[in-house]
Amino acid sequence: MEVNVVSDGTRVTLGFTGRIDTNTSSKAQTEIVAAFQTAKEVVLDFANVSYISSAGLRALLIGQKTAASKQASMKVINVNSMIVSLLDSVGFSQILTIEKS
Amino acid sequence: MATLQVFAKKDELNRVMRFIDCELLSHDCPLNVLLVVEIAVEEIFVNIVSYSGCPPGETVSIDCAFNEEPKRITLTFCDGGVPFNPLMKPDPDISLDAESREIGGLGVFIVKQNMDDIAYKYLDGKNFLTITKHF
Repeated sequence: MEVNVVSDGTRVTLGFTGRIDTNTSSKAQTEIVAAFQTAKEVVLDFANVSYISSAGLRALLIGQKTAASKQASMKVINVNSMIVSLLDSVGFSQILTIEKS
Repeated sequence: MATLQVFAKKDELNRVMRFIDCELLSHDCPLNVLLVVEIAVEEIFVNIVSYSGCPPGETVSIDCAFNEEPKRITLTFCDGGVPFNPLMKPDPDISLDAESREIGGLGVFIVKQNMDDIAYKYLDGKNFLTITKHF
């Protein structure tokens, strides 16, 4: 899984490519949490995410908790319909800001 | 029926996934079902590796069988670890807000929600976990 980081003032956009699974989720989490060191707005671009497992969902939850603790915001954009369904099924649609693709 | 044997190590996950994908795609499984089966397989395999006490040199076997009418996949995970059911975890409370949500328990919850049947037994020194998904 690759993470492309784009910084634009107080907004950081992380573009994820590939699978966010048990082997790659700690990298994803590290990048997300690190983004909040400098950004008030963190955008996770999921346009090229083909798969996310529960390990990846944990990273998203930790990201959201980090945002709250820093009075910052996080949103997940370009989420495909299958991943949206998954997020709905675990109640994440209510606690994350999600934009469908 | 096809069987894969892998070592009880997390870095075997990619091999496990390729096996599952190959089996499902060759039976025309739709992608939305493939996704939830993959997530279930990852959860179960990782839990077996992490908690069943299988040393890395031991193997986990995954049997994959298909039924045509009705169309369904049945996967059986078998390992020689301590008696351990990877799906014995209480469901998380998914109505809580982000601050209150617990970090763990999601994977098992997703398996229970999406699989049509789940069965576990411990027999002759081995754990057997079977999941079934219609598609």
